[in-house]
Amino acid sequence: MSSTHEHRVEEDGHGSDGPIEQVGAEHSALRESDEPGHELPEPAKGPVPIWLLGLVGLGIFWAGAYLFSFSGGFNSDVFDFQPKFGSEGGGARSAPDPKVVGKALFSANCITCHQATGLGVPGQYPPLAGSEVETGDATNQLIAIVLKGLQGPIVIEGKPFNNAMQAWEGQYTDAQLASILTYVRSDWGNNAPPISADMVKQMRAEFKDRKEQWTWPEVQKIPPKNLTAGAAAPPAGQQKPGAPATGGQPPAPNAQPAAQPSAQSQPPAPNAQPSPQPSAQSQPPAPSPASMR
Amino acid sequence: MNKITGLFFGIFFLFGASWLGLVAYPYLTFAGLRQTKDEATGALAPLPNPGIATQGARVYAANGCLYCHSQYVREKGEGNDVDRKWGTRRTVARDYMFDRQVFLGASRLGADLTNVGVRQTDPQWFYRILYAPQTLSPEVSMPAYRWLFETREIQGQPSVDAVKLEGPDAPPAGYEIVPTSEGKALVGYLLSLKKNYPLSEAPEPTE
Amino acid sequence: MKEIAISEEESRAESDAGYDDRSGVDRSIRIPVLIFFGSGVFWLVLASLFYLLSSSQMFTPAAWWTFPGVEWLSFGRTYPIFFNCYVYGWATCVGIGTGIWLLSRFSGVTFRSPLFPILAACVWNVGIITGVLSLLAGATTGRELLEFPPASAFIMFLGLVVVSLWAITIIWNRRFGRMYISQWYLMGAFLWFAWMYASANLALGIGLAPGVAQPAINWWYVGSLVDLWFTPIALATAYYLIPKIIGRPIYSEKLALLGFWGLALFGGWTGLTYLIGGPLPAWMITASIMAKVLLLVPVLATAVNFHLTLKGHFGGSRGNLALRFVVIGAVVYTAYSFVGSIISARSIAEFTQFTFVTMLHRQVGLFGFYSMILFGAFYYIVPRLTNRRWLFPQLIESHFWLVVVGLGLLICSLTIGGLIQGFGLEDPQIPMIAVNDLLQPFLAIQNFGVLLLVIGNLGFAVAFTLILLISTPVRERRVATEQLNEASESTEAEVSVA
Repeated sequence: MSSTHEHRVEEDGHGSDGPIEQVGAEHSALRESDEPGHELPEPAKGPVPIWLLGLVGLGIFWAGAYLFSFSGGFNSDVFDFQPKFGSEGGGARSAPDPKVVGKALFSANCITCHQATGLGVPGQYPPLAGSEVETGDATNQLIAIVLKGLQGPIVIEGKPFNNAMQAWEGQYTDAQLASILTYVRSDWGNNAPPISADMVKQMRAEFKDRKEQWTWPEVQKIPPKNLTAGAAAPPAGQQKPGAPATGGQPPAPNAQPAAQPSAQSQPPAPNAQPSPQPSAQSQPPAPSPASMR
Repeated sequence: MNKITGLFFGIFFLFGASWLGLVAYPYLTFAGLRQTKDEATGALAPLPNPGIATQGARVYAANGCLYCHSQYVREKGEGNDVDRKWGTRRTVARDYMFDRQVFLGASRLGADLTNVGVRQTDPQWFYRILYAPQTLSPEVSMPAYRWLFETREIQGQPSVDAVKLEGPDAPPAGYEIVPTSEGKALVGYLLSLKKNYPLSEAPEPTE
Repeated sequence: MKEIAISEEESRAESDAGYDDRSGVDRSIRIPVLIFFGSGVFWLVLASLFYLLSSSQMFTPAAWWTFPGVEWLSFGRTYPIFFNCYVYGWATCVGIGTGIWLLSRFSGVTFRSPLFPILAACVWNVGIITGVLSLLAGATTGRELLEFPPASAFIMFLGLVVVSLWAITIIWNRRFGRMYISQWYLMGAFLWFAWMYASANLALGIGLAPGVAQPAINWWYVGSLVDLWFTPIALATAYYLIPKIIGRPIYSEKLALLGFWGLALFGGWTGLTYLIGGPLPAWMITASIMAKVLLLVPVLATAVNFHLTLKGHFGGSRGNLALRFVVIGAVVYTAYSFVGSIISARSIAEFTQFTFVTMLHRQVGLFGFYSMILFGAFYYIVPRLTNRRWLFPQLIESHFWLVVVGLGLLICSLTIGGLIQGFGLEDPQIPMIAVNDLLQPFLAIQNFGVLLLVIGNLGFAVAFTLILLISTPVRERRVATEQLNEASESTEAEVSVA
C-alpha cells in the first residue's frame, strides 16, 4: 500500500513527524517541529464562494416564509400546520351528534320516570314513544312543558295520568334541552324534526314570567306553533335514526312517515337542498361539509 | 476570532434561545393545560388515568415497548393514521396531560398504540399477544414476554385471567398460565389507552 | 487550573526551546486521555456485542442465540444498553479524550498532575456502569438516550462538569492570542453538552415535565446531542488533523466562521423533526424543520472548506490511515446532513417517519461520521501519547474496510427496507403484520452489516490492546529503525498511521 508512495509513510508531509532522529532519552522519538507558538499553520484567507453566499440569502428568505406560514400564529393551541377554515383557533368545533348527546342527558334524569323504553309507567308517567305531544307540530307547547314542568291530570293517547313533572329550565341550557327533545323525537319509532337551541331560547323568553308548573288545560291553551316549520335545511347530520351520520352529503328529503299522527297546519318546509353552511338554527355547529377539505 | 468573551456569549445565548423555545416554553405551557367540560353532556375531557395505568406504564418502559410502538396519531394531511383506524382524530397536547410518562415513540415496527384500548377491549387478546406473539404472524418481529406470566397448577376452578392458548404454547394438562401482577398492570395500561373523546382543538376529519 | 500547570518561567523556557517538546505536553496529558480512550474502547466492545444481539433479536426474536426467554436480555433492554454504551461510553469518552488532548496541544501547557480530568474519567465511567446495571435490571426511564436513571445520570454529570470546567478554563487561559477553529468548537461542545445534559435530566428525571413537554425536551436533547456535542468534537478533530497531516493550512477562516456560527445558531433547534405530525404546537415543529434545513448552510461551508483544503492532497489518505478515516467521516457528514434535511420535509417525513430510515439516519451520523473521524483521531493520537507504534497495519486496514462495507450494507438495506416500510405504513389497505413481514430480508442484510461492523470494532479493540501491551516504546527500537531508514527509501517496514 505504501510502495507507490513517495514519502515515508510515517511522515505527515511538512510540519510534523520527521524521520526518527538521534535524540536524548528524555525526548520522544516522535518529534514534531513546528515553529514556536504555532501548533498548526494559520487558516488561510480563502474567500467564501459566491454560490454559498447566494444560498445563505435564499435560505434566509425561504426560512422566513416557511416559518411564518406554517406556524399557526405561534399559538400553542394550533397543532395542524395548515389550519383549516382560516381560523387561528385550530378549526371548527367537532360536532357531537345531538341525538347522542340528548340520549346521554335523557339517561341521566328523564329516564327515571319515562323509562329507557320511552313507554313510561302506566298510570304514573306518560309515554314518550309515539306520543303526539312529543312528535306533533305543537312544538312550542312541548318546549313549554319541559321548561316549566306539568302537574295535575293529563290524558295521553286516551290514558289518564296524574303526576308532577318538575321544571327543567333551571337545570339545563337551551342546547341541552334541545338535544334531549331532538333525541326523544327520533327514538322509539318517533321521527319528528329536531328542536334547536334557538327554539328553546325563544320559548324560554316567551314564558319567562311563568313561575309555576303548567296544568294540562293551560298547555292546551297555548296557541300551537310549529317552530320547526320554516326552518332552513337541517344540518347535514340529521338523518333517519339508525342511518350513519355522514358529513357533507345533502340531507335526505325529510320523510314524513306515518309516525306523525296529527294533521299539520303547514306543509313541511322543503328541506331537500344541501346547504354549504351549517344552518342558522343548528345547535352545536354541524360537521363541516366535504367541500371544505 | 480572538475575542473569547464574544465567543463565550455567542455560544451561551444562541443555545439559550433553543433552550427557551424547546425546554422552558413547553414546560410552562403544557403545565397550564386544563380539562374542558363538554357543554352538552357535561363530560370532562380528557380524563385522568386509572391507577393501574400508571403502574403499567412503568412495565411498558422497562420492557422497551416504545422502541417499536408509537403512541400518537398524525392528522390526515400528514399521514394516513386515521385511515388506518388508529384513531378518529389526531392527538394533541391535552391528550397526554394526565400521563405521568409519555411514550410518543419514534418507530412503528409494531402498530400504533394510541387507541389500542378502543380497538381491543378484551384483556385476553393482550395476554395472548404478549405470551405468544406468533399468533399474529409466524415471522413477527415482536418477542414473547413470558416473564410477565407464570405457569401454575389449576386449583379447583381455572382462574379468570388464565390465558387461552392452543397448540405448542398451551400449558400442560392441569396447569394454567396466568399473568403476574406486572403483566396485569401492563395490560391495564394498554386497555386504558383511549384518546377518542372529542376535543375542540382536534376536530374529526370530515372525509 | 493554573495551580497544576508548571510555573510561568518553566513553561516559557520550554516554549523558547522551540516548542518542539510537544512530547512533554503529550506525556503530561497522557493518563487522563488514555483512561478516556481505554474506557471508550471497552464500551465500544460492549456496545458492539449488545448491538449484534439487539439486531439479531429484531430479525429473529425466537432464535436460540437471541436468548428469547431471558428477561434481562430482552430487546427492550439490549437495545437501550447498546445505544447508551455507544453514545455515552464509546463516543463521549473518546470525544472527551480527544478534546482534552487537542486543548492541551493548543494551550501548550504541560500539566504536572491533571487530577481533574482523571477524576472526571473515573466518575463518568462509574456512572455509566451503574446506569448499565440499572438497565439490565429494567429500571429504565423509557426515554431515548436518557434511559439511565437519574442517580446514574447525576454521577455522570458530576464527572462531566468537572472535565468541562477544566476544558473551558484551559481555553480561557490560553497562552497564545489567536484561537484556532478547533478551540471554538471545543468550547462550544463542552459548554453545550453539560448544559443540555443537566437540563434534560432535571426536566425529565426530577422535575417531571408535564405531558407532551417530556418528548419535546427529550428530542430537543437528542437533536442537540448530535448537533452540538458530537458534531463539534468531530469537526474540531477534523479541523486539526487535516491540516496537520497534509501540512497545509485550512482554506478559509471565513468559511470556518460561517460553519461554526451556523451550527451554533441552528443546532439546538433540530430535535423536533423526529416528532413531525406529533401532538406539539405547529410552530415548534416548523421551527425544527426550518433549522434542520438551514443547517445545510454551515454543513456546506465546512464541506467546501475541507474540500478546498484537501484539494490535490486526497492521495494522502491512501497512505495515511488516520487521514483516510477523517476524510471519509467528513464526506459522510455532508451526505448525512443532506439526507437529514430531506427527510425532515413534511411531505417526505410522511413516509420516512417511524421507519428504519430515521433510525438509520441517526446511526449513520454516529457510526459513519462521528466514529470515523474519531477513529482517525485515535489512530493518530495513541502513538504520540504512548510513544509506540501500531502493530499489524493490516488490522487497521481491515478495520477500515469492515466498517465501510458494514456501514454500506446497513445503509442500503435499511434505506430500501425503510422506504418499503414507509409506503406500507401509509397504505391503509396493507395490514400492519404484512408490513412487518416484508422487512425480513432487509433485516437479514442489516444483521450481516452489523456483524461486519462488530468484527471491525473488535479488531480495533485488539489493535489498541496490542499497542498498549505488546508494542515496545519507540525509543528502544530507534536504532533498528534508523538503520532500516538509512538503508532504503522506506517502503513497508515502519507503517504507522502518523
